[in-house]
Amino acid sequence: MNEQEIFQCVQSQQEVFRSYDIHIPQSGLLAGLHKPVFSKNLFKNAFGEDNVHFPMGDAVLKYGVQGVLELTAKRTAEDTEKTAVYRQAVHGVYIGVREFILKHMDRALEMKRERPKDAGRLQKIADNCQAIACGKPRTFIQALQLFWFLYLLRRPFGGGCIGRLDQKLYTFCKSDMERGAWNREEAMEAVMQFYGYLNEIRTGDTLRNLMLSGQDEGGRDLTNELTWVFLEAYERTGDAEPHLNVRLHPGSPEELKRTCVRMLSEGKGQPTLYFDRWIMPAMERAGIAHTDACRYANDGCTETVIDGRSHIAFWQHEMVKTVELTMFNGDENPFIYPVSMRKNSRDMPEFTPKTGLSTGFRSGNIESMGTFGDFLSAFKSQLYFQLDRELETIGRKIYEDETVTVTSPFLAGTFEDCLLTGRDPLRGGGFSVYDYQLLSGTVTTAADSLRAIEYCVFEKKYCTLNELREAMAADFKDREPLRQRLLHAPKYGCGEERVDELAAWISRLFIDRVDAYRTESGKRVWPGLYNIDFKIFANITGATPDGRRFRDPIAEHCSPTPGAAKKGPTAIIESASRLPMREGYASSPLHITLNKSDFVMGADREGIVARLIEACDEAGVPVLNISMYDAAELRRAQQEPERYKDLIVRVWGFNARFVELDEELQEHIIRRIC
Amino acid sequence: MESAMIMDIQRYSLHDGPGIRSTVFLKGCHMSCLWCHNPESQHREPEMMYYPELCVGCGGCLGRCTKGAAGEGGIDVHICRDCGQKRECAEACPAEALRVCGSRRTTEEVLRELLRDRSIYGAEGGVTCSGGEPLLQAGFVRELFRLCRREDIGTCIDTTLNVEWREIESVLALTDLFLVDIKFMSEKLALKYTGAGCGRTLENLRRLSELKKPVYIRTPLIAGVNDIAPESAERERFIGELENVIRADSFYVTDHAGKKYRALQRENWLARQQDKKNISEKGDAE
Repeated sequence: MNEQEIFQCVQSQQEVFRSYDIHIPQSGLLAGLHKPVFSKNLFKNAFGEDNVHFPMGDAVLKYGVQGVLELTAKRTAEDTEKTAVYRQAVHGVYIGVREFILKHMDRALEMKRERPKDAGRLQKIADNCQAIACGKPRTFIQALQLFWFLYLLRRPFGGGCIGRLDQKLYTFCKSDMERGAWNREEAMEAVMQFYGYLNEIRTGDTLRNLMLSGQDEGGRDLTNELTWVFLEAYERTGDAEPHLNVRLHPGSPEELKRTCVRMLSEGKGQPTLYFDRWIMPAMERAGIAHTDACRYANDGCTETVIDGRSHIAFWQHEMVKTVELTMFNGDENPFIYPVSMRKNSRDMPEFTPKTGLSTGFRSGNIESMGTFGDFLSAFKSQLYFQLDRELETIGRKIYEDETVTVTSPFLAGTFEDCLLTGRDPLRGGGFSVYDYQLLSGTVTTAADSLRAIEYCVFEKKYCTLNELREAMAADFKDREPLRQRLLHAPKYGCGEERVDELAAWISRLFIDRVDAYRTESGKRVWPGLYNIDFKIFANITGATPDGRRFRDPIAEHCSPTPGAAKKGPTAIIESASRLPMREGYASSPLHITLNKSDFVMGADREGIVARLIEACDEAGVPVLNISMYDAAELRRAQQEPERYKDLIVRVWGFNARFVELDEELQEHIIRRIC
Repeated sequence: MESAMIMDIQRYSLHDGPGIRSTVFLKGCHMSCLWCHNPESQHREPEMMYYPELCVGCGGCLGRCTKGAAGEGGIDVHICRDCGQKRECAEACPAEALRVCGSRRTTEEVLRELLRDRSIYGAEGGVTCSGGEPLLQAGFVRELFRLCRREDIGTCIDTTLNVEWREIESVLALTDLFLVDIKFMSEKLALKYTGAGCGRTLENLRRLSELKKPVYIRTPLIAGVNDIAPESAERERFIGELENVIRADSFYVTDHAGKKYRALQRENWLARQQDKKNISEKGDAE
């Protein structure tokens, strides 16, 4: 981006800010709310690179908007042409930010004149706006107000990662306490208003992850008053947004664990639990400094980021499709036809996905494979070929980021290093930890497929490899008896050692290959056993050897294929314990979906949820989501959506209203219940 | 080493005692409660079960059966009863529409399964032996519970208590908790509905109470049969006199074993009662 382009961007960004509604609420203290704006062109013109999947930096909270303007007002002696221009761009955008905040002050004062009865509250709002526009935030409410304005301005569609807000804002809460000015109920109402706004703007795949608690560099627990406020506010509101996450570690307070258990026992899949003792050491083994690892949070979904120190970019590998390409010697299953689908929500536009894998790599003709080992070798070479290509793509993006990518000046202004140096966060201005990830969940459906080949072709000899391929090419039409044999072959999630071993083997191949990769500048790519696009994969992967037909669901993350876990959640945990989940530090989550109707006849719901959480932690599960539904209730919700608007379910890295999901995802979720 | 006829081992069992448990279902029962929700647990020997809704019509069984049980219309499992080749026929079915219920397993084999959830039971949960009537194979239960004790796993038994006291006594010290159904207080009704009297159950319950052995009481209610006076009042009084009851639950029996009755090709008394009721309600309405 040259100077002219940068200033076009600044101009457009200011224009966008000016177009937003100015909102002063009828009650409560939190100002600012506008309808989401979706426009590809607008994003391109007005914003530089920022995928909003990671938390903003904390510099604006620290310096205030005025402080940002002062730091960027003048060229410094160290500035190069580039940094001087970039500094100016940040300055330009934050003039727009200040204007946006001051407009709220003006409106509040205007309303005060019209409503003398409400003068006190409106004056408070005006004061808060003035304080954060012209100085630094001094109170918790001001800090939350500033965060909220920035959050609204970051992207017009009202989505984006939140990060560790209990940590970011705690210094303000603490200072309120020290001055004897902490008003918990007022803070609670403001947080509830913040949650309310999020739900009002939109719900679903909104990237709004709020991460709570964790530990400091000395291993001390970081649960604080705000952790409790954010949790309690959710317990009081209980809607789909925000998506809550809690970091647990051996020093976490019992009360925090109990609160998580109580909330999870509600069945909404909130919060998702992150276990520091598995995630942090893996990050550190990969060269991430302990001080950085302590700051990890999750991004817009479940992937890990270093809050305030990293961005994130991730790619997904299609593992089940890799089995297909092995079976068809580098070609796709000929049965596949283009499917028009929605990503998750009913109101999203339709699109027709295609595989991201490269066809044509000849990993071996199945006619020449005499043993299961031969098939595994072919799979391994197909996998390596695909992974190496994907890693090259990531390498190219990394090079681009090292040289030419221009980060959104708005976002850059939230990073202290950028304010001090004028550098783009990608190049010394804030992202001190780089976070490029290659992810592959669905290893479990891939393992089911490999095990079905071993069991049905080589052990039981129900069919030959050729016959199996023909059946897959026919999507099992007129091959139902064979499909039944494949469906009844052992599956991951049932505590069956051999299929679990295969899942672990695939995971290790993947993780080791990604771990071994380095860019020319020596950067690594983070591996994770995670997917968000499992639904897309189901629509681009033909019939598989596990008996799955084209478009039938594929597993997400480290969870069993929907419908495959026949022995309940403890067997799922046993299977998961065999996977190298903790090595996939980019995120390797396990979803466990319990049957709500099991909790009758005195079954102690909270006690059981607590045991399952402990068992997962002991089994090395780094990220855990437990949700709880009643299949009959979900079916009724499909029939009468208007009566079930409050039914919240876990999807991938987010929670959503069940009735707003498209039918395919609804079916996927019903079939997960074990 | 003891072995027993095992019907199933169910992990993550939430209704057979406290916490998360694994339940070992032993096959064989000397009672024949009309509403039994585990009808496949009554006979001691392995049984063929046929689920027609799963059949894909491949004819695999037709080629395998030598006794004439398999025909175009499905399987007559009564013919399979004395056949020694049940497992071969079940293996011939790709859809598992044909399944053999029951296999003889040693305590060691069963323990291996139970240990899979060793770390999950915690202090609350553990292992439950249920059935059928597990105390008909008391030697196995005793040995299994001894092994569980060695692993520090809690033990619980779901029993009719309608057995000789010495069978109960043989597992007493190794059992943490008894789950007992009080189905009837009247001998006459018990004989009619369960095929056995209830005196011994009540007497054994009293003895457990004297020994202060913890008990959960569970009462299956059958509308118009044991949920009315004098049964309900007498039951309540009896439970009130016991000193070892940790909790007492009652629940109306429902026809959730319908599929299994069909798979065993046995009459489903509960469903018939429901049909009768529907017909009479329809008659009343008209």
